Amino acid sequence: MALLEMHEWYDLTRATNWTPAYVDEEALFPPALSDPFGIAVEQWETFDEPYKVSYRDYVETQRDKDIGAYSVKSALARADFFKKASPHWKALLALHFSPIGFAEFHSASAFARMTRFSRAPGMRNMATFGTLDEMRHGQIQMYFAYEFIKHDRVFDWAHKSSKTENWIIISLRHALDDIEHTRDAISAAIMTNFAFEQGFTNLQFIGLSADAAKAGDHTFATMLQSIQTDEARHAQIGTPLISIMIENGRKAEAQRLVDVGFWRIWKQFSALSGISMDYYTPLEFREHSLKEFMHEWVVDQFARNIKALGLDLPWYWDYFLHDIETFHHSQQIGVYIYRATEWWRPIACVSPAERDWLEEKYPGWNDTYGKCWDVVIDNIRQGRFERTVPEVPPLICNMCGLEVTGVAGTGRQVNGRRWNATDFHLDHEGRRYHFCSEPCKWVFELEPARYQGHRSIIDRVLDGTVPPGPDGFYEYMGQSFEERGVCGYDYQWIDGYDPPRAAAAE
Amino acid sequence: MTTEGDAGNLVGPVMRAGEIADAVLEAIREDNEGREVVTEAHASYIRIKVADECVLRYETVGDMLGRTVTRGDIESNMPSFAGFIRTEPDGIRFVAR
Ligand SMILES: [Fe+2]
Ligand SMILES: [Fe+2]
Repeated sequence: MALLEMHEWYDLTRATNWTPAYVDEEALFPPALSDPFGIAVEQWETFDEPYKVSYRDYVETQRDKDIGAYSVKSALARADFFKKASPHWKALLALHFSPIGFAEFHSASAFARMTRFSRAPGMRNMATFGTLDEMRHGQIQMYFAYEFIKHDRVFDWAHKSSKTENWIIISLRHALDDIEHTRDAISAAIMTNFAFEQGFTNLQFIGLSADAAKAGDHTFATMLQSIQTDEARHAQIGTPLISIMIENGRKAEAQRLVDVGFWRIWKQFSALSGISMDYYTPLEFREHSLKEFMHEWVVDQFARNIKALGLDLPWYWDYFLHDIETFHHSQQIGVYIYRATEWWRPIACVSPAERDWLEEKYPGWNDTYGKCWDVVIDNIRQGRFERTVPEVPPLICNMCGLEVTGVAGTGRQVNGRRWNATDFHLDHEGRRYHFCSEPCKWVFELEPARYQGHRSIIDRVLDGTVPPGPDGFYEYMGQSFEERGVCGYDYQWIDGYDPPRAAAAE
Repeated sequence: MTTEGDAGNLVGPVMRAGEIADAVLEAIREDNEGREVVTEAHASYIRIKVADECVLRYETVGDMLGRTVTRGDIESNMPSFAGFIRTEPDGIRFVAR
């Protein structure tokens, strides 16, 4: 018997809204979980999937994708790529695999909630596939990281990280809890599918795949792009939702969801992709700088979609364009000097040649961030290793959970040094909250009740949640002695600053 | 360096570098005849762009490769695209809005 073509039966099978007989509509779709905007169900039923797939077709395609990615992995496993990889690439792989595997399961759970609670049947279809996609992403990355454990225990953190109170994980979890888990299905979808996935995932999963291909890590490059082929499909859930919101007089709400979601996720990618692309990728394999990739994928490709849908660019756009060129450079300094608080082996990546590259991509780098590194380099050359680690803990943003930083050498002079780190703070109900930026503070002010109960890692030190003593902090963060980061090059990266010594050794 | 939107309304797929990508490029040239097809090659992927609308038909891609090409074959090799997507029974249409 001939099968009907998909387009001949699709609309009929999508009509899965019916009148419930045993409970009322509101019990089945509580507004707080389904639609706090009060948009009529007939309007949600106009949701037409821009990217249509049948279940049979989905399963076949996904099977082929997995066969492709896993066969590249097993074909190359014997090449022992990892053993021969430089500390640069090992740090990059650790930084990717350790937080991301479980972040994918966060998304699976968010998609499952959209599948259950959305009143739009078409959205429920797409979200069903999205749930399965994100389970695949969690599993494939966990499995690919697992192969490395026999060489390097750092990769244990692909699984372990999400259960710890490590400060980086707190930062990531706060962002994902905010946009994926504590909103109704529509808001979570606009923030997750549109702002997060359509906005940023291309950066790490396609941009970085170009670096990986150049570095000869074809297993990683193939895996990244294979994952992203799912994102390209399910990230489309957000666009019809935004159109329906606008058509029903909810443009301001849609705009706010995009503005908040975009900012929250930008901070995460700034640190993750920024450090990966501009520092951890070995110089000779860098396809583009973070700034260039950001312009390609976000400032051009994504911003056009925001406007084409009838929304405006977020109000902080100019600040964001400045942040693209600055934030991750200061975070990289923080990640290196506070290395013991991270589970991998951070590296500095500021050899003379790497500095030339940074100066070319970010004119002025040497006069700003470079000045900070000069101090670190000087201390290492004098053998004062203890001075490369600050004694005081950093100020942590109460929103993004990352370090409050600024651009060195450009701001107000304090104690003979210039540093324009500005603490945007807010006094609310008897306590002071610190923020790294105006947008992080703005997000808090929109809904203080949502955010005020969160305690940053520094709050937890001050209020006694973190046990005292030299090991208390690390143990609280789940890091045994062996799981505290040390310089991935054992300080030898500064040899390049000592031409006479290098020449004498030859 | 780009400013938002200065790529005009160029839309189209981003393909993983490989034989499917090459065939897709040839097919897009054929199915969007008379219109400029812009490409941008990167180490692991290629951008294929046409102003305002870009049509991709599975059958034309199949003709280039000499075998049947399905929606899944395209999806498996398409990690992103510029613009908005409309899947149709015989292919994909990328539109600026
Ligand atoms: Fe994912
Ligand atoms: Fe996703």
